[in-house]
Amino acid sequence: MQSMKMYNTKKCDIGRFLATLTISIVFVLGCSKTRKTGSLESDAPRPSTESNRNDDEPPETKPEPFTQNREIENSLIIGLDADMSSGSAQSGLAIMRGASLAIEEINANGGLLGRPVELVVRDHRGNPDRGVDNIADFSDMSDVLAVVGGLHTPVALRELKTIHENEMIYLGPWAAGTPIVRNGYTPNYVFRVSVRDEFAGGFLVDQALDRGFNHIGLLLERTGWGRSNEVAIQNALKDRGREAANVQWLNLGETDLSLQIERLKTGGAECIILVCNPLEGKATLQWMARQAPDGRLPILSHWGITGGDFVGMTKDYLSQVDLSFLQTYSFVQRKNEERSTRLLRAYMNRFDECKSAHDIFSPVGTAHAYEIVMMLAAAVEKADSIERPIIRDALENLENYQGVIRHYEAPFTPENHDALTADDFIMARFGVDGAIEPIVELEN
Amino acid sequence: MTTRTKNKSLRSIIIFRVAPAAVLLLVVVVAFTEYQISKTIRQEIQGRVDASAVHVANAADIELDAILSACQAVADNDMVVNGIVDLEHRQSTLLSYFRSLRLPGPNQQRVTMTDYKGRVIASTLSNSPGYGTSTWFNQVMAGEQFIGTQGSELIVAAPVEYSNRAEGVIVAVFEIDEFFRGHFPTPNSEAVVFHTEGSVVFSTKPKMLPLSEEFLPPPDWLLSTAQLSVLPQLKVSYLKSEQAAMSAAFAVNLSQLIQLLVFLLALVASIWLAAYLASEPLHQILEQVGEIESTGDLRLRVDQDGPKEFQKLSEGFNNMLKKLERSTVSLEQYRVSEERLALAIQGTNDGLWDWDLKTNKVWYAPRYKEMLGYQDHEFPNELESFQAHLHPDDEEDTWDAVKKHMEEAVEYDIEHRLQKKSGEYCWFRARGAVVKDEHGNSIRMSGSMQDISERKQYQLTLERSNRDLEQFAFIASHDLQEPLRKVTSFCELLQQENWDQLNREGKLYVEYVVDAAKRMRSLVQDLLTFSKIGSDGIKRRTIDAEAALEVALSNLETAIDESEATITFDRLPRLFAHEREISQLFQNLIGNAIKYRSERKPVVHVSVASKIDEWIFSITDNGIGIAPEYREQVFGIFKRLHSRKEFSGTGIGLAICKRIIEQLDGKIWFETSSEPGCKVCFTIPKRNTKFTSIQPVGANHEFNPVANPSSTG
Repeated sequence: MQSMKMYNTKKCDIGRFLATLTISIVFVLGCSKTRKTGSLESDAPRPSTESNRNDDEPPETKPEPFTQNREIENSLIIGLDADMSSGSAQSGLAIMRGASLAIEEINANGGLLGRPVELVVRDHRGNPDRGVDNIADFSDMSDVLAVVGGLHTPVALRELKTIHENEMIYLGPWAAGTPIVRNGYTPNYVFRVSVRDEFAGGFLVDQALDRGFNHIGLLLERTGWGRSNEVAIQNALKDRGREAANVQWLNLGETDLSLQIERLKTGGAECIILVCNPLEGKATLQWMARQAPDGRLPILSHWGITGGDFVGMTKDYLSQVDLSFLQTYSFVQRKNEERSTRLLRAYMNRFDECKSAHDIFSPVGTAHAYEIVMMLAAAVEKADSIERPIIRDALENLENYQGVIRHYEAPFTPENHDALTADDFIMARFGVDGAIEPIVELEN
Repeated sequence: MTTRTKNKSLRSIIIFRVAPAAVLLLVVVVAFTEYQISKTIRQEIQGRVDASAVHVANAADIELDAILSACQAVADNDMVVNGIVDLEHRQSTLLSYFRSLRLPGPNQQRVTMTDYKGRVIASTLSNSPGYGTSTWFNQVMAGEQFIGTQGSELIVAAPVEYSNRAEGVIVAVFEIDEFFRGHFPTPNSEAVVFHTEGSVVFSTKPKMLPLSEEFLPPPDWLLSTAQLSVLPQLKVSYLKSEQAAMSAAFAVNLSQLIQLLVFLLALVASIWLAAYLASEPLHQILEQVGEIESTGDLRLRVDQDGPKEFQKLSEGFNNMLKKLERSTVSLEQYRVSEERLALAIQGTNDGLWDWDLKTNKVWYAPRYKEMLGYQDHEFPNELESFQAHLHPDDEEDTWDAVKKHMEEAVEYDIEHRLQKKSGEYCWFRARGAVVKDEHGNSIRMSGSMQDISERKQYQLTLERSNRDLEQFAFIASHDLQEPLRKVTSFCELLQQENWDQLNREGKLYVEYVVDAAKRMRSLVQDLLTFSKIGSDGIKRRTIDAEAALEVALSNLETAIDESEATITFDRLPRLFAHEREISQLFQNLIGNAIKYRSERKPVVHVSVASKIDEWIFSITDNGIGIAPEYREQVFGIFKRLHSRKEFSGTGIGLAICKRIIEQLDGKIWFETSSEPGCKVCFTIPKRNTKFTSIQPVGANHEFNPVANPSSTG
């Protein structure tokens, strides 16, 4: 016997008591919001309207249709398992655009092994459980070449087991956790064209030290990614004979970071190396902006914050905080001019709203996804098979690969599945138009 | 009612008619009250049962709401949200967090967190089943909270959201039994919580209402059911057995019954008392009325005691008696008058007449007509019939009298002559009275007519013989005085011229002759006076008796002075008489009182009493009195009781008095008195007097001789 009652909960999230001096009448002012309901299956893009948006909520990326299941008969499938609707949905969209541009280019050139390639997208919303299920779903599909992952390291980390159980090739265009690639599985089915935290830690520490901050505080999300970075940064500091001034953790969804910032400041931090995704990054920036101007610590952030519409989320106080962050690639300052320009044009052709390189959001997601899908295509061609173990091997054996980001002598080797190194890293800022702009002078 | 209550006493009516009705009414009222009380108590208990049910439902709602809010707060905790993503964190932190939770509701709490497909992430249960297959799960994942029952468990679930989407679920599970047991703190309360589909999910008395049985309220129980609003599938039923519920009503009813009995007794006693109080004065009145009825004595009165109403009743009855008495007296008087009138008419053979002044019709009694020698039909009942028979010489006097009677209220009592059928005129005495209406207008005049022709004849004869007698007496007296004067003259000559020539014997004889002549002369004069009474031709008039008395006292002045007599008198009335005669009367009587005095100084009092038709005068003295056997005799002419040597006088004084009084149709007599002295009384009829203003009673005047200068010598 079962009975149930469903509620549209009314949450009172603001309660204020105002008392007049003369009469003790208490007004309770509360605004309530009705919980939005959506389809339980998170694969569907979420409809959203600007008017509904609350400042406290993450801005949502403009929904863009994507295929959730095979639509073309006999197609080869490249899966995409990323956050398409949550706080880092913009990263998912950027990755999808990069992958799509690559697949369109592949299909324009006759597909792979004579078969059309199709991108099938599953939304994991940054939830590892969903990600694991998505990998399992892709594994059940036929002719799946590989799955392109998303921004979230925790998701990727949790997927490793399923990936390897199903010999699913996982292509990482963003999630930077070191253990994603250095996962202990042999053969390793994870390939990444992205930052490796191990390198990012050293890079960020160096950036801080270069800027004269001898006491570095850490603020990391309490996930596998956060822990991965803590290890990397602590090691980097140790290597440089230093210690973290203070290490603070934040929970996903945590909005009040005053305590962490206070502790970092009292811990003597002169700057903060921030490791989190857009929602928590926004909270950090928000609380930092609330400090007195001379008490605001410069923030050197990992690139997780660029996975969403961070500028849109933080436009009110972005300018009040010294924020720079790690990037690998910029359409504004293109490294591999010929291929980059071609990709930029393809992008602008494909997406009407994009008028210049400044309009490309989360550029690393697009560039990395494009790059890694093209690498996959090359590997498939080289393997001449759609058997993933064979493709995996082919990936390990690509040589002289001319990519958008740079030229790789061998993007991957059996020992190294990270295509990029710290040499590929740059620091960037948000420009006045919201575009990510590399900090050129640092390179000089 | 009057016929039905006939022959029944007031008390029995009140007791046997009012009392049963009142008792019946009381019983009805009490029965109604009993009914109302039972109803009210039932309603009250029902209300309490209702309130209990609602109270429990509300309390359960509040607690469920609190649990729901708490679960949502847990789900909203960023640590929990973080647990969605971070596996390591889940295992280390979440479980201890859940174990540390103190959610509202029963103590034993089971909190589970699942992932987006209902798989357990962390749970305080060692063997949490997971909820992916539960029908409610998808709805919670859609962002809604859930509260519901599953078997004997209460499930509360809230979505764990991250970035506006549910990524997991917090599920709190409670034993329904434990949950509701806390809401029925009274172990004796009998309540059941059941699902709208019929299954009992909780009951305070498991034996009575097994969980497995479909809930059916016992038939003779008061039941109230309230639905939970947070969880409308559940209903709380409070039960109270009617027997237990109505025990209170029974207690009230019992006391009510006792009250009824007391009331009944009080009512019956009150009615009896009221009947007694109401009937007792009536009985007294009835007794007195019965006494009056049996004795017929209308002078008796009913006591005016008791309550006001009875006082008024008695007063009314007494007033009625008074009126009745007066009416009876009037009736008696009327009857007597009637009888007298009849006797008078019969005795006097008066002829009655009745003159209608408006129509001038006159009713003449048959006797009237008969007196005039006519048959009834021969003498028309018209005024003209009378006028035609009236003697022309009497016409003027007659109509004058009628006019005076009508206008001046002068008594209509006249004598006139009417012509008989035979042609001769006869004397009739006519008396009558006018009858006036309410405005004082004369409407009729009626009266009687008496044949006085015979009396008139006698009167004329008597007057003639009296005149002859008086003439004789006067002539005799006058003539007798002539020789007497001669005897006296010659005796005086003898004493003057031949006195010395007489011897002693001769002288003695001459003195005897002179003395006898003087006495003779006195006798003749008295006789002359006596004979003159009533025949001197002077008419009677209205005189003041007091003035007459004063004249008498003036004449007696010497005697009064000598005897030092005290004369007192009442205020005396006016009389219709001869003043000289009344004065003579007083003079003779008072003179006697002084003359026949004892050793004491004479004290004389003249009093008068008014009767209906006469005055009674009395003259009292303190003299020697008069023996009863001589009281008639002394009024005879020349009667003396004493020798001339003892008291001077001719012995004609009282005879004169008697004659004066008789001339006035009065009487004179001596009265016996216990006091020494004498009391002579006489009456003078009022008939011929007019009394306008003088009322004799109470006035007392004293004639003081000392005040008279002539008496001082």
